[in-house]
Amino acid sequence: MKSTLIALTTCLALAGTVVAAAPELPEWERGADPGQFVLGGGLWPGAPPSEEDVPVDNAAAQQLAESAGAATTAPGAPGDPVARQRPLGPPPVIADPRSEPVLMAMADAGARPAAGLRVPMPALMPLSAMETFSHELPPVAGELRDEYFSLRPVEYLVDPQRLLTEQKSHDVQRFLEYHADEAQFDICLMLFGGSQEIPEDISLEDRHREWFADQPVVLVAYFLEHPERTRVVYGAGVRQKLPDGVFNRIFQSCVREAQVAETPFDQVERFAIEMSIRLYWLAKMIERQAAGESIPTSEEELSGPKWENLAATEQPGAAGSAGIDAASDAAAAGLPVLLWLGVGGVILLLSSLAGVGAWWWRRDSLAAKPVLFPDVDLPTRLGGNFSGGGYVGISFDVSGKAES
Amino acid sequence: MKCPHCSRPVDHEAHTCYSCGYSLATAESIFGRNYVQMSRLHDAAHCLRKPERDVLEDILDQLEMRFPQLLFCVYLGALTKEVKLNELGFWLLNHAEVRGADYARSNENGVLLLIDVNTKQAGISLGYLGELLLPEAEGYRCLQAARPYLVNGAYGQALAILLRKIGRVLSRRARQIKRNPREIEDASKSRPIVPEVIPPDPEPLPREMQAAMAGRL
Repeated sequence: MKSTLIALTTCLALAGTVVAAAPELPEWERGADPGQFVLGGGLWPGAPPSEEDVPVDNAAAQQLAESAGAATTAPGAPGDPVARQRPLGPPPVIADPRSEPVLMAMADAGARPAAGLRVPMPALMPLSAMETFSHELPPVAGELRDEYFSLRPVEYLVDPQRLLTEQKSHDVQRFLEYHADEAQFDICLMLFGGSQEIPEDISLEDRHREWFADQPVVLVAYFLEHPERTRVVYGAGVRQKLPDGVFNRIFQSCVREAQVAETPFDQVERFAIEMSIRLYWLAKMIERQAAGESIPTSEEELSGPKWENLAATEQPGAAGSAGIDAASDAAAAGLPVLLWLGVGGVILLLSSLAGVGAWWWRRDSLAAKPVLFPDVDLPTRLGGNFSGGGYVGISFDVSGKAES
Repeated sequence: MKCPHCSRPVDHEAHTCYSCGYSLATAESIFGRNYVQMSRLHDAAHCLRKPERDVLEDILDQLEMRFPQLLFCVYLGALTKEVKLNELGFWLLNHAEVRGADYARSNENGVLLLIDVNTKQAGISLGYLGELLLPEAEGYRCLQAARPYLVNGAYGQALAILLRKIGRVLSRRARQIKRNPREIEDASKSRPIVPEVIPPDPEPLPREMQAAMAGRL
């Protein structure tokens, strides 16, 4: 009996211990305060639908599905539940009407949820690959302005508005970090919306000087969907070392590369990659200039193989590994120079001849500038006020004879 | 400067041809005294196609841009053998108004290209200024360049080549005049060699014949 009592007491104590040691589960954030906790790194609206928002009958579910269809066509409209619950995160997106949006298909095809089934919010549905921004972003002012410009950026990608998707943001961020490890010039990429403007009183040059001083950092202000509006700040030290044509060439290459991509997110990535490549060669160019070599300025020279093939030529010992003597080294070094000079001379001669020929041909061309003849008082003859019968003629009758 | 009718040289102030008496009044008796309108590219023979017309219009536009004073026009007709092309050109330049031509381009500065598809003749009629700018030899050379196409009946191509050649000749001429501005004035004052209209006095008879004649009288 005593042993039974002891065993019972032990079981009760053990059960009480288990109950007392229950783990504390996290509480879901409330729908009324959605902006504080952002699930999924800003990809998704913050709060799950509350009990009040979730319809439990078929009629309400269908109504919500219809309102979802309306939300895809007119997002941000008053009364739009998606718009009300949207936290600070990626801008609302709509499906391209040409790509048969999923939500519209669900609402129209009668794919209604069963009774009592909780209907997810329409904005949480998978989105089409073709995404476009559906509303204007707020101007860069107030807190948003401070997030951009108040402090020196701690990361290479500055995107406080979370304009990029989470995956793309990580990709770009990782790439910029990798670039910073490998290259001499770091890239600080500030991302703005296509409709946004940098405040007029903000000077990127001043910010660059204040934040990075003499550090080799390139500050890039990129406008989503509008790569051509990008502003690139190199810093005064770098700008003075090289001619403007070099920097213009880099900018044009990056913009052209970005415009190849279809989606604005891919454009950012391509822009960053091209900028990374160009900055690598920019660093090489500066090294060459410091070594006393001349810097090409024209478009042809910048895009020519000379600077693109630097990696191949800078391999140490590549030329000397053949074991040739000093004399043959000198001859080998001098031959390409003579060859290039000869080729250049021939090209120069041919282009000069072509230029002279073109000038010779063009000076009598109809497309040349207008010609005015002097006014002359001419006497009339044969009673004609305008013509005195001046005539030149031939016969083109094959059987006949030409006459003048 | 030749008479359109008999092709004899004519003095530049003659009211009628010394040889045949031809004048504008004679041409008016053939073609009429009224004034007519013609388009810049007047295809009365209907032998140009739409693409050819477009090309020629472009060339005419370029010519007018290059030479703002000159009037360029083309006439293609199917004429009878009785009508001489040079007389028609003479009459047209004095009696025709080119539609759309601005005031600065008077017929006096006209270069009229004529093609008769019936008699297979082509020519260039010139206003008074055109005569000074386009010498006869150069005009003949231009026509010869277009002759192969004319023989083949490719009138559009022939006219295109002809107009371009004329443009080049006029450009060269403009350069010459720019180098020597007095050249055009001298050319306007040069007089052609006009044949004697009154036959010269007969040579005096030998003395024997004079004596015989006197004895007879």
